[in-house]
Amino acid sequence: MPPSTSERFGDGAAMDGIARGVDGRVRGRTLAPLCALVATLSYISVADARPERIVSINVCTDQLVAALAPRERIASLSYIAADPRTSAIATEIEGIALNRGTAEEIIALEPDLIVTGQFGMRSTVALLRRIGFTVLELPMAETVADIASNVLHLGAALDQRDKARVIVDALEARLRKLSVADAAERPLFVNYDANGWTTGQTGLLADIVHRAGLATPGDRFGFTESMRLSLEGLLHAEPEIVDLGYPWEDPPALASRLWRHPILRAVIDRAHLVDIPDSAWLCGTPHTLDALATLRAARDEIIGQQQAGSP
Amino acid sequence: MNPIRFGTLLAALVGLTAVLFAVSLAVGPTGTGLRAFVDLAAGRDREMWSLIIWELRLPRALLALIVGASLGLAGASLQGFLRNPLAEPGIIGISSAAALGAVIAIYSGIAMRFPVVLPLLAIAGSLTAVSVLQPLAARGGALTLILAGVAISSLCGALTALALSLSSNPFASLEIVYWMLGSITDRSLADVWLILPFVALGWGLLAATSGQLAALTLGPETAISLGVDLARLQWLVTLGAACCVGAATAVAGVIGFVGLVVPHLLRPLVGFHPSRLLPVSALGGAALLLAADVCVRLLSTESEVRLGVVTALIGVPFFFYLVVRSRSAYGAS
Repeated sequence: MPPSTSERFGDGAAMDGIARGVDGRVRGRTLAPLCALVATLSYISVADARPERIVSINVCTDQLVAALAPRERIASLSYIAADPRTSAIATEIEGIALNRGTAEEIIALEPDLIVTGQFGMRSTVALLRRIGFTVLELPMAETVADIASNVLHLGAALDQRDKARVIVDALEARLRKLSVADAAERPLFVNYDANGWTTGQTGLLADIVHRAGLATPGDRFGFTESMRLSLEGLLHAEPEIVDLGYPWEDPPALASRLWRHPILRAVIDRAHLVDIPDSAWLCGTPHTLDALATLRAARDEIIGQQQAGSP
Repeated sequence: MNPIRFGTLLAALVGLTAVLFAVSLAVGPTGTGLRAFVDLAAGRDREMWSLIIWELRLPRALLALIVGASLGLAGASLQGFLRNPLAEPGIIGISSAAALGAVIAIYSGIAMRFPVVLPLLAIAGSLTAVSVLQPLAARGGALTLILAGVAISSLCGALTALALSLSSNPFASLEIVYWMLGSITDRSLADVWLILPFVALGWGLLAATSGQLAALTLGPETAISLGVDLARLQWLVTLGAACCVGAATAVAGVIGFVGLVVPHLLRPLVGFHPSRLLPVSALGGAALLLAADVCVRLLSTESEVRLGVVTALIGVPFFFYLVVRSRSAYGAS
């Protein structure tokens, strides 16, 4: 999981993050019919009947499966889905069997559809396919638009198209309401994670930050992928909004030592601290927009204070 | 090489250490160099400047100074007492044992509640290692000591990896690199205060050995006839080296080769006098680690270059040279 960068940030196509923040919303809408078509086509190829024993082995697909499929059709989710530090549905899945993603236990579950992400577990997926199981791999959401296409894709595969459509419509309506279409001013938002990892210009987290009318450290200092920012760099960047990742303090590790450093307290004292659970943007799910809502509210407050203070 | 005047050497090393200390304060991601330092101080945000200097760069420079001096001093004393030029805390496993103690203190969560347990357990680790090694060094030759050190290093390394794997914190297993190669990035003054009393005790104990180490260069029998209490000397060196290495490793991880390179370079300059070698090795160790830490910061790579990488790159050629030389000195048997 940690430096959860491969899962969380991946290597998205390099593009101007701020520009995408503005027009990505439009693209997400125009692409929706195409996504549905792709989803339908791949549905035909992955399954010829409605899957009744669905097994998910990835924390991101766990959350989409739980949102789309009726409970009685979910045979198992990954054990990480029950960990509130990484999963937004940890409290909602009591009673569902959990798996650790090993081929042996998956085979024993006799699934008619296995859902996973495109990262990790390559050998397990290859093995399961070789013995004849149907495996659906969803791409990692690099943007909010990807969340909608993943939901539609999975909805088609699970024969839950209507439910997927409802979720996507709600997602897009909420996105329209929360996005800052044309931000003249972009306050700096720093998501400071264990070991000092922070956001570049691409990836889901950056997309959300851009849509909230904010800038990432990557925008400010010109790095594309997520990077480590030293405490000195963090203090000097003077972020206006700060979110600290989960501290991982119990049991302790050196990664959490930064959380107790006096400099971090000084940074927080000078900024607007928001509390966005890691689970909101570790995976692209409908819950991801909760992060956007929090950031948008923080931005409105800051801009409001500035306007009140300026004249 | 002719020995130069001790006073001159001491003054030169103090000067070098002071310059490197100042350089260390002037280097950082916010800006590097005197100009940036002044700009930062004169900038609109004096509070930020003082935070950066007092809470980040000063602790880092102080730790480099203290840890480097401790490792240099411990190396010089161990080499003098064990009469083996390869006796370096990292090579003979004392640092690995200290790291194991520190790892147990941190990842069990005890050090969170009682910070002082961290240096104490690290010192307990290094004390155990020195105590195991000493009888071996006394009975066996140079090779026995090194081989026993390899065994202790391997065992402690394996137990450290085991302890980290047992932690349910997903970050723990990634931190083995830190414990093997060391770092003093993003520390606070609290870390300095935590180890200072133990390090000071170690320095004091080792300083008290210098006269007796001089007599020991003539051989144990002669030293005893000169009135050296070998048991007391052994006790002083063991505890002193354990305090120095244990406390240093507790906050900086394993940093190898400082205690090898520095005494080796300085020994001819002090005319092979142990009483003079100890203070200059402490200063030299401080200067070397300050310089290595500045290097680490100037190489702005994606992921941090560890301090131990720099000291190993400098130290391993010396190690090879000493191995070859001691092979010819002790014979190939």
